[in-house]
Amino acid sequence: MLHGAYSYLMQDDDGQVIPAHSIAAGLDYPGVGPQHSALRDSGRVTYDRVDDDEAIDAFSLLCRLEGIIPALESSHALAFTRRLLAANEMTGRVVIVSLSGRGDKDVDSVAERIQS
Amino acid sequence: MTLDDFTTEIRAKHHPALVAFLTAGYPDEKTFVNTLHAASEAGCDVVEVGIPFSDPIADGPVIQAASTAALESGMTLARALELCADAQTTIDSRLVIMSYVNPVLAMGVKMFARRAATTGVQGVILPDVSAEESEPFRAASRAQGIDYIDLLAPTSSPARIQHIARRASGFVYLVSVMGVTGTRGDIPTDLGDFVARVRPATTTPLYVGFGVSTPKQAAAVTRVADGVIIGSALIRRAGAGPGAADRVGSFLAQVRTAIDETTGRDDNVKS
Repeated sequence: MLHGAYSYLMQDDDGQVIPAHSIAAGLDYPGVGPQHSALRDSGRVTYDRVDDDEAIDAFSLLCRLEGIIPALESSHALAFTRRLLAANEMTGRVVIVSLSGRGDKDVDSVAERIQS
Repeated sequence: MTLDDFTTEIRAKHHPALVAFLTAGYPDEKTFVNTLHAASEAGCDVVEVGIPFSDPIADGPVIQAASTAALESGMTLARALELCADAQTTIDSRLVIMSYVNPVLAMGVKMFARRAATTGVQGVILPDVSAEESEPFRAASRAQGIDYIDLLAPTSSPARIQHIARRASGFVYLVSVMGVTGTRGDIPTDLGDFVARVRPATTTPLYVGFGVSTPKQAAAVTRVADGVIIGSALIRRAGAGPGAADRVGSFLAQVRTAIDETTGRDDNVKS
């Protein structure tokens, strides 16, 4: 339990919280919401990981192809989608990606990252 | 004798309770144990052993820093309980564990209560468990003869005071101020009013903590409440280099003297 929420948490065996890192501010937290915890437990959702570089690549790709600046959080979903498509796991199927936010807020951190 | 019996008995004798908060393993394991003994020798009725946690949301900068240092040196809930077990055979103070709840969940609620009871711990404070969610922790404590200590804030509504104070045991922890632990310039002037609002709701003794850092402030607290809890002022002294245990002990002895002069407490005190 962290900050009053009982949910899945990055922690060690003694219950100490492990620091999180993500280039996306909205993912840079060692816990997830209780709703995600329940969705995981019910098996309706599976969760996976995407690193900072993959997210930035997906961010840039959507900007180039569609002129849409996705939020860095949503860019993780785009990166995962690319991975699914590359593995031919979605052939013949319709894939929906939720762009949960806009990336205007993220352009500075992306620019900094790309330039360095 | 349970903590509840003890706190009730000393109140009946008009003996103001002195509670020392010490962060387990701070500044190091050996100094912590020495400081624990010094606190007992200085006349602390209860020592509240704080389990360091990565995210101590109720604590101000002093205890936060102590918590971080203790974690870096490898302190854990399990190790703190071992240290308590060793210490309790040689000290007079009653031991209470203050832990954020996540380390307790990691150990297992029932396992924690069993191990705490085995080590001679008599009370438990889980500051980030709300009253609504407290029943499993309360039941596990009760099953082991450990008092589950509730907290109330100055903003607690009359209904909430009733709800929480009614089932309190050991003592009720009255948080004197809004905000986190740590030194304040003054004890709030409406503390008497806060205590008076809780008093009719329970026969359990009322102890006040947060922001008490001088013997004079402690005496101001025990003029209206049954006990006073001191934390950051001790941690600051514990972290100030060699001689930590003596420094904390002599400060607590001064506090003891100051509060013992306030035994003519009036239960019906109004602000």
